[in-house]
Amino acid sequence: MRLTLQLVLLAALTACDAPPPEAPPTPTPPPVVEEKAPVGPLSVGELAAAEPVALVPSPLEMQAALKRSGLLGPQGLLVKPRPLKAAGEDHDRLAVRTGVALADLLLIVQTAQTPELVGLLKEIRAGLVALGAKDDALSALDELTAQVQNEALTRDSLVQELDALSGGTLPELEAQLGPRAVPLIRAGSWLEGANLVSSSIIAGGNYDTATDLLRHPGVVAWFQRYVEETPAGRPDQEQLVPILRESLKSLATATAAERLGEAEVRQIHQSTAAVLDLL
Amino acid sequence: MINLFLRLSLLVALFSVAALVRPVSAGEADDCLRNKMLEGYAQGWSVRTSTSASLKEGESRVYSVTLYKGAEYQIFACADAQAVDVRLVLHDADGQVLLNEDAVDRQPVLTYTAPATATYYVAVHAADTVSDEAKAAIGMAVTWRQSP
Repeated sequence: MRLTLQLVLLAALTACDAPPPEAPPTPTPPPVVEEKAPVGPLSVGELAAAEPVALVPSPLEMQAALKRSGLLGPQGLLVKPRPLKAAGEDHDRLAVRTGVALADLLLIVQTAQTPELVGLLKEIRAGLVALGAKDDALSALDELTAQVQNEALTRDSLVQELDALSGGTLPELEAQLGPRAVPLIRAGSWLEGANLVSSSIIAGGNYDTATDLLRHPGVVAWFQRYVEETPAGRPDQEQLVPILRESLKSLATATAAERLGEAEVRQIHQSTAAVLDLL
Repeated sequence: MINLFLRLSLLVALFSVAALVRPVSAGEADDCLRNKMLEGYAQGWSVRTSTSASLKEGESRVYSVTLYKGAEYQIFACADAQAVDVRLVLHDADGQVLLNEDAVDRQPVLTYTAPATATYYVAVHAADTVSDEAKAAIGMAVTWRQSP
């Protein structure tokens, strides 16, 4: 018994004194390569949640598309002077109207006389003031208007300035104008552009080009969302909103067709005109 | 001539409420985006729109965009120094991948000529940031021009 205990103790002591067994050699780890996550298709949920900030083509893009189709004459799109009705305090109407004026200005900038350009710049300014634009935005517009009046800018430079206003500055004005105004300004520009493009297609009788020029399903769906969110019963919206709602419903069908033909183009022309006539 | 309205954009971004909640370095992404837009004008590009987002590593933002058949589009992003790698992916109307810019950089660019007028989708991915907690400010712009 005693011998056994001594042996156990000895074994334990020997074990403690013994050098640790040699660890097996660790293989050198391979260099870490950051693997990129695979890029896959977007889910239905991701498509539905996409932000629409880049959805609406500018009037200049619409005009350029018309030119590619061979439907644009040397005078550009024939923008008609539009006698505007008083908008009062109706901000939705003001926003849509400001968008129409911005589209007209972009479309005639290369061909119009200076007073016509200044008139549209003043109309855009008045719209932005009523919608709540602050001094920084207005002073830039005033500076631009003065340069146009003094003919201190080439028309190409003016196109760039207006393009930057429409594409770069307008989205950032949302903080000043509120969440509804910017989409409705874009809606106004798109309605005017779509109306003029559909006029050109009808005038030329070239309906084969319609799908390339006016198939914009996502655009109308976006405008519809804003109009549907309009609280009912505001007296200043009684006239515009129901007609806008009906027109957009009709436009949604026409602009989403897989292939647009004469019926769709005439529908787009009629529905856009119905809204523009209210302004 | 420095573009009046791009200068105004900078002013608005600096003083808007949105700017107050942006990361301190958001100005770096905005400046980069603005410079690229100005350079683009000299090459015949026009601006459709620009926007920005603040993303952590692994996060993405998806934007819908209408492209015209036959027009040439350039979609680019600019991120601040919180980002190491930003990816841009263009998807068709069904969400399938059309183009994937997968170089490791903070200023990816996609160029595309659309075969049909339709709604497309642009996904901006913050693929890698300087740390797990970092939020990168990432600006994105869509520009277009007539095909040469």
